[in-house]
Amino acid sequence: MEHVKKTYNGQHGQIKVFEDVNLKVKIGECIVITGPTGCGKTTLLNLIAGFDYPDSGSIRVNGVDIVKLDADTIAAFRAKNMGIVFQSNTLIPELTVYENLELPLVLLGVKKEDRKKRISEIVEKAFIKGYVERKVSTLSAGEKQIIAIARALVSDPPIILMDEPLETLDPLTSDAILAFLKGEILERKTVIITTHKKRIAEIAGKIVPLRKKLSI
Amino acid sequence: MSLWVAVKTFKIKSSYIKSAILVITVLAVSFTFIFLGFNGLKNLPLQVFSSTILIIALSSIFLHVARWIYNDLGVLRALGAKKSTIINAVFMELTLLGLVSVISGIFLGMLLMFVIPFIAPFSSFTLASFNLNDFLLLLTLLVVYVFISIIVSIINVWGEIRKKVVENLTYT
Repeated sequence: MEHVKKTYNGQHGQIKVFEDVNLKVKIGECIVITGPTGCGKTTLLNLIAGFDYPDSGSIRVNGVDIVKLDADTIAAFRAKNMGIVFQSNTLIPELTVYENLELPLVLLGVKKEDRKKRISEIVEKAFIKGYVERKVSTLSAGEKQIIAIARALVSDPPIILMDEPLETLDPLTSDAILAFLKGEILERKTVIITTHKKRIAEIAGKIVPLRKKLSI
Repeated sequence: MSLWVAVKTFKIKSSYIKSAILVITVLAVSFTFIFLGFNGLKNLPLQVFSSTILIIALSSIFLHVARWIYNDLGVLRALGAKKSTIINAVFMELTLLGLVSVISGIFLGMLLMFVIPFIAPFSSFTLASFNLNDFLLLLTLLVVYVFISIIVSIINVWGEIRKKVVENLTYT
């Protein structure tokens, strides 16, 4: 990210979120972005994922300036290169765990047999074999979060973005998820995590503090 | 890809879809009565009036169905769905929903007019007066109305898809 500026239109005029953000993440690096509520952690991830556009500046992901891409090109780029874990649960509750894991692969155009193979691999690694055929609506918050992480990893993208993945979970579930994240899966990937929790720093190579209304 | 999304969305929203099918089928039964039973096809003012009501009703139902689909629009786009994938999926869903409901409504309406004796005295429709051309005209009209209503809904979905993904995600 270079010289990124982002403002929102609020009720009482414009709200400056970023004035001049510069952030460089190396390939294979795991960085954790910390900071108080409202400092722009989610906005930062939204910009990197291409969900939102900056007012000015450039955002290069794997050498591609995503700010210049149109919506469909960025969607295809995101499907191929990024796995995203959202702050709120964005699994589809009426579908089974298997179908939720299948969704990013379908959008990527992966054939049925390959989808089955990739899902069985991630299911083994995430220890969720026991409830693959269960509807997501019947799972606990912790189980849902593990599924959300598994969904981000199922297409084996080189970049993983996680927005506050442990915030609503109890310590035991957090431990289980941290153990999953520490495993071999994340070792080969570039990971950006936002969080309030200091514990997640255990898996970080670098911690980037973000202050309110201030650039990094 | 679009077919997979369409099938899963039907599964996700099955209770809503069943309600929509029921309402459209009842509408189609009513219009079968009006057009075939009460000679609506030969009465231009009645035809124009009832057709307008039907198009408004169908558009309203399809818009609601499309809005239920919006709930997952943000997730689909965030995971990498292209605009064309979503539009195709919505088009397939609404087409299937509309055609199944309208065709079953016409057949159910005709069956009711044949079977229920107390309906016949109110109409000029009898088994002897059944005209294949009238039936085909009714079928064609209703299918055209379904597609007009689908186009209205697709324009609405297109308006949503043109927004930024972050705005679509607020629906979830």
